[in-house]
Amino acid sequence: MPDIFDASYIWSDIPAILSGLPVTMEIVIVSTIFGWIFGLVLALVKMYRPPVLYQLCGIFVSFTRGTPELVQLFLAFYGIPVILQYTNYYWGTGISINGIPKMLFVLVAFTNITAAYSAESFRATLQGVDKGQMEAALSTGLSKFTAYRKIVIPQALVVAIPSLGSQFVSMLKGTSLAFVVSVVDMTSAGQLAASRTYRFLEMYIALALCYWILSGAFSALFRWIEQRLKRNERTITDSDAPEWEPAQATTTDIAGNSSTVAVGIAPVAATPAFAKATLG
Amino acid sequence: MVVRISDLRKRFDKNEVLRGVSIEVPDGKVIGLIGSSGAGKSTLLRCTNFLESPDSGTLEFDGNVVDTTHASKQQVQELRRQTAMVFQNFNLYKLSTATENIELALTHAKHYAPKKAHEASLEFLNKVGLYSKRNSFPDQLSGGQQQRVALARAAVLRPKLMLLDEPTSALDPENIGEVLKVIKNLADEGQSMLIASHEMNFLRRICDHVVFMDQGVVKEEGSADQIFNHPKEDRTRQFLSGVTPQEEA
Repeated sequence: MPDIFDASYIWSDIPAILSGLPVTMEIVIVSTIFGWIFGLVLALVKMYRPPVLYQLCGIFVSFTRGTPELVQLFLAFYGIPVILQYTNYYWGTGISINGIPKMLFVLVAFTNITAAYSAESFRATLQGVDKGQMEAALSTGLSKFTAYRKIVIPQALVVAIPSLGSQFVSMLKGTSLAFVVSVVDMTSAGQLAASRTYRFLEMYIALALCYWILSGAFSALFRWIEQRLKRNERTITDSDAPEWEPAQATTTDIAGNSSTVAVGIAPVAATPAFAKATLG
Repeated sequence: MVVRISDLRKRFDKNEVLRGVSIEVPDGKVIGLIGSSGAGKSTLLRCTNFLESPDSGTLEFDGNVVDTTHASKQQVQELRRQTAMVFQNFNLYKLSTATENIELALTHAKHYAPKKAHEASLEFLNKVGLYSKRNSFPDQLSGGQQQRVALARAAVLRPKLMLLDEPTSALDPENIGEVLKVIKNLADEGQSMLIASHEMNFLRRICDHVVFMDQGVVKEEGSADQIFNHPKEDRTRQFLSGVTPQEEA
């Protein structure tokens, strides 16, 4: 049997492939953080519809979702230097075009892609949160910002996490395109290793395994995050005292009068006949 | 005089829901709002809290008059801090425990220190008889328990005026009793309230003053005895004969 396929190369290529893992993770994590923040802003613009900005955001989202990731990478790769050349020319910013790290192009492209896809998830889930939650928060004097931060966004996230998770995993796979702008991620690292041995099939099997395991791990992580965020479904553990004890000897009742004993309403049982009984 | 609502108007497209409503709530008094659905009771409460922006009219809290047409963001925020709303559907924060529901406005609107807010929350949960449920989430509580937490959430802010929008309409008869008892206790402790409700027997018992609204205006108002036993207006009589047939017998 000739030496057509040698499985041992699959295992020996893995360390070389994993040398690109930090770069892959950097792309995914940085783009996700900035992409989600940008996506949340886009979602708010879509909800509140400020003129001009709303139309611009619409064009941005439609363009980003409607063009291939590879094309966007090249647009960033060729576009950013051109923009900088213009700013250097007109405003004398003096930025060295050659000094731009290649990674920046990849991060810009993937941040845009994440933002465009997550914006729709954020918008749908923010609008899906019961209007009464916001009203309750506003009625007690909270600012809209605090109401969003403390009440609405956490509830929206619970619903959004599954779709954000699948977008995250699909971006993780998409980062394999970074090699086109010479950023050495897992795919590039693997290609470099295989170019020395010419064992491309073995390397790509190893690379596929690495992406598969990473995707599975991140899917599981997002399921775990979802469960953590659904804190109302976790078990209650009351370890402290079952009876209320006033923290201080002096308490203040509803009317604002101080008294030395806690003014309390006795725990009430369900009293269906209350209205009748009290009316006599 | 705590709160004076004057000539409040609100229109949704062509539908004029409030057509110049004026109501006074003296300190520590309980005012009942009655009327058929669509009479404008809920809108009046929501406008008082600026959950809906009134088209015109003034709101006066302790001598501070706010022209609702030109109310600034700060004025709206200040008005909201002096009122507290209890909703028909409770609207407890779903991912927060009973205690956290009560604490939030204390720490973020009233700027209490976290420890003080926590203690006040537990005190008020105890007042409504739910200390043992302090770590429960809303979906682990019955409707009546949720509304009692909502009452504690509103009362803990010690508002100048509590606005109750049909607080028992979403509850079954067993749960209604426990909620009414808590409202009664708050009223006995001197909390000013404006209550929109269809619980006529209850309103008759706790209200100092009852306002009958019809088609966006105050049709008749007076003491509970006067409105329920000796209504002057035909429309009031007609409404009451429909909702409290047993009273007429």
